[in-house]
Amino acid sequence: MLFSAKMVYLDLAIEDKDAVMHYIAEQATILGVTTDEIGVYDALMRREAEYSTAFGGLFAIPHAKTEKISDARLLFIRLKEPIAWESPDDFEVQAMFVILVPEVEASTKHLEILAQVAVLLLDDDFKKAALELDAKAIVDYIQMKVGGDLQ
Amino acid sequence: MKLVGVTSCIAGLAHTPMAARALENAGGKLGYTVNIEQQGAMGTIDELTLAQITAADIVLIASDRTIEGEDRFDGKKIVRVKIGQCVSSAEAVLKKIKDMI
Repeated sequence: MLFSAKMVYLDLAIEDKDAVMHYIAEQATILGVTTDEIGVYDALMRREAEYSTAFGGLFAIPHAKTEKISDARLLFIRLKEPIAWESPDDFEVQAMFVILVPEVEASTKHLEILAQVAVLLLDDDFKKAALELDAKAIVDYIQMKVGGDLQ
Repeated sequence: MKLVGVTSCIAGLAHTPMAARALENAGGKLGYTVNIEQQGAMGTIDELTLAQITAADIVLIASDRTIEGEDRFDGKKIVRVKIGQCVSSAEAVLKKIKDMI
């Protein structure tokens, strides 16, 4: 499954960006889409170094396209408190949609869904919902907005 | 203002479509004609037409790498902007560009 309630992580008491990236890599291992946790962490950090994925409204979209990932996944993470993100615009981050795709992504469907979710983040109502809803409600909301199944 | 542009980010997954949509939304709000082509993980989306390019006052390239088909814009004024800026401040980016024409 590209996205399900299993990939929603709420109320995390993580204090800094580095720890968040490690957490994401760890979850990727637990979800069974990587056997190289450090590799995933590196890929995420490299993408951040190119241009920060924080873009305001307490949201960020860390993402990685890497051969370390075997199958595309979308994760949603919400922290207890906003944290600093070392972004050039000094944006703080409390919630993030994480996009992990294989280097060679066979499924354009997955890419389409991911692009749709990314574009949803331009919508203030969506961001508000994502900061407040519980796991099941978030999955349902995205399902509705994306209008398809999240396989 | 009539603007055409290309967004293209290295991973091509998130910033590419977000920047395109943010610019088009901002353009709509400001009353500009904005057409954005995406060069991303899914290939080229919303490829610019010759008519759009010819009619454009200015070309915006929001990319952290070389884009394909930049020669289509020969003879046009080109502005390069960081793709992240387009996502977080699309309206400001467009207004600044309008001042440059």
